[in-house]
Order: sequence, then structure tokens, then C-alpha cells
Amino acid sequence: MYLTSVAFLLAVIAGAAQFTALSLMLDQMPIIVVIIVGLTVNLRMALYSTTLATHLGAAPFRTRALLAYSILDHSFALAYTKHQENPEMTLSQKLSFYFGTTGLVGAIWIVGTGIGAWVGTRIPDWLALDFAIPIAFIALAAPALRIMPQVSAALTGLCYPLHSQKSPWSGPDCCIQCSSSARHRTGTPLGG
Amino acid sequence: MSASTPTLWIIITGLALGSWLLRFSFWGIISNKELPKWAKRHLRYTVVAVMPGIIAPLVFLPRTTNGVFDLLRFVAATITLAIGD
Repeated sequence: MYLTSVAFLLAVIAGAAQFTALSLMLDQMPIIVVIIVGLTVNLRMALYSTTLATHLGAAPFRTRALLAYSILDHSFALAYTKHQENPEMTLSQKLSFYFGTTGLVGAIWIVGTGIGAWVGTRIPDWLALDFAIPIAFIALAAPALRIMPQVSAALTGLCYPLHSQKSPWSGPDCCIQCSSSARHRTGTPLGG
Repeated sequence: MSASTPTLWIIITGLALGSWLLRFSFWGIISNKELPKWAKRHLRYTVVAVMPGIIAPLVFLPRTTNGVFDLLRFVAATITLAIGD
């Protein structure tokens, strides 16, 4: 069982897509639906890919093919922030940094998946380990919030999924306000 | 696990190939070409737009509490944001 979990991770290496696929599988959805919905969750990777291409595009084809496998939310956010802060970095420095972050995150993730599948439900609920995920993402995104348009974009990103889940926490007003302010502000020259 | 083993492996293979293609997509195509300035300007918002989209449901509607808002989780998230910014 835990070998399957680790194999699943090694092949797909995308947590959110895996969670989605797994819950659809448990709901006995058709294979094609599971794959399509799982990949939809991963569509953001194409956006990461484009962004990384602006910094690491000059790398050889094989390097890109290999490193593309390991585009993760964490390594992308760390590398992106680093590139923005140090535009004078050479391609090999950027590649080293990217490889270092993604290798470390990947290694910990694989080991963690194995341990998680092995220990399984014996981890008590009160530890609230599920909350490590948003905490890690907040820590990754917060330093990137430098200028007002980025804050507006973040607020829009924050509202949209809540609204689409029909939650009482945000109405359409919130989203419209955030997105119109983001659109308005991105028109102004950027300082960052 | 209610899904049978072959089904599971078809799904794993499909997701693996698709995910790699999505990740490689533009990085694979663009290589040495310089992206236009407007595209680069838009891409600067990738992190700040995508991440909150992942974070929001996890903070406000945690699955472990069946989607009920949890003050402790909210406070933890706010503190992280304050420290990180």
C-alpha cells in the first residue's frame, strides 16, 4: 500500500492533483474524468513553466526536460523570488539554486509520503498536520507581496475559490471589487 | 481502496504524462526566445495570484473540520502572513 503511495507521488509529483484524483476514484468516477480533473488542478504548472522559461529558458533541452518534472509550488515560488531579487544571477547559478530547492523539497516529500502511508491514520487529529500545507504556502507567497497591484491580485486569488464554493465568507461583491481594483492598478507603471 | 489495481495504474500513468507535459509545455517551447514585455509583466503575478487560490479554501473552509471556519487555523495563518511579509 505504501509502495503504491510513493509510486503515485514519484510519477505525478503533485499533491493537489493527487488528492483530487484520489477522492474522485473513491467516488467511483470514470477513469477519464479522474485524469482530466486531476490535470485541471495541475494547469497552474503551465503558468509556472512559462514564468520559469523567462529565467531558465536558455538551459539545454535535456536539462529543461528533467527539471520540468520537478516543478513544484515550493521550488517555483522560491526560485522565482530569488530571480526577482537577484537579476544579476547567471544561468548556471539560477539552475543550481532551482535544482537545490526542488531536490530538497522533493526528497523530503517522498520520504514524508512513505512515512505518512506507513503511519497513516495513527497520526492524531489534534496535531492539525493538514494545516502545514496552507502555512507553507503563506510563507512562500507573503514575501512576494511587494506592491499594491500584487496585493490586489492576491486578494482576487483569495476570493475566487471561496466564492466558487458558495461559501458565506465572500460574496460576488468581494471578487468584483478586488478584480476591478487589480485591473485598475496593473495599468499603472510598476515599481517592483 | 475501492478502485482496482489496473484502474489505479492507468490513472497514475495518465496523470504522470499529463502533469509532465503541462510542466514542460512553455519551458520546452520558449527556450532562448525572449518573451514580450507585456507577457513578462503579467507573469510577475503568477505567485501572488495562484498561491492565495490554493491557500484560501484550506484556511477558511478546512476539510478536517468539514468546511467549518476554525478560529485557531485562521489566527495561525494570519501570524504566518504577518511574519512573512
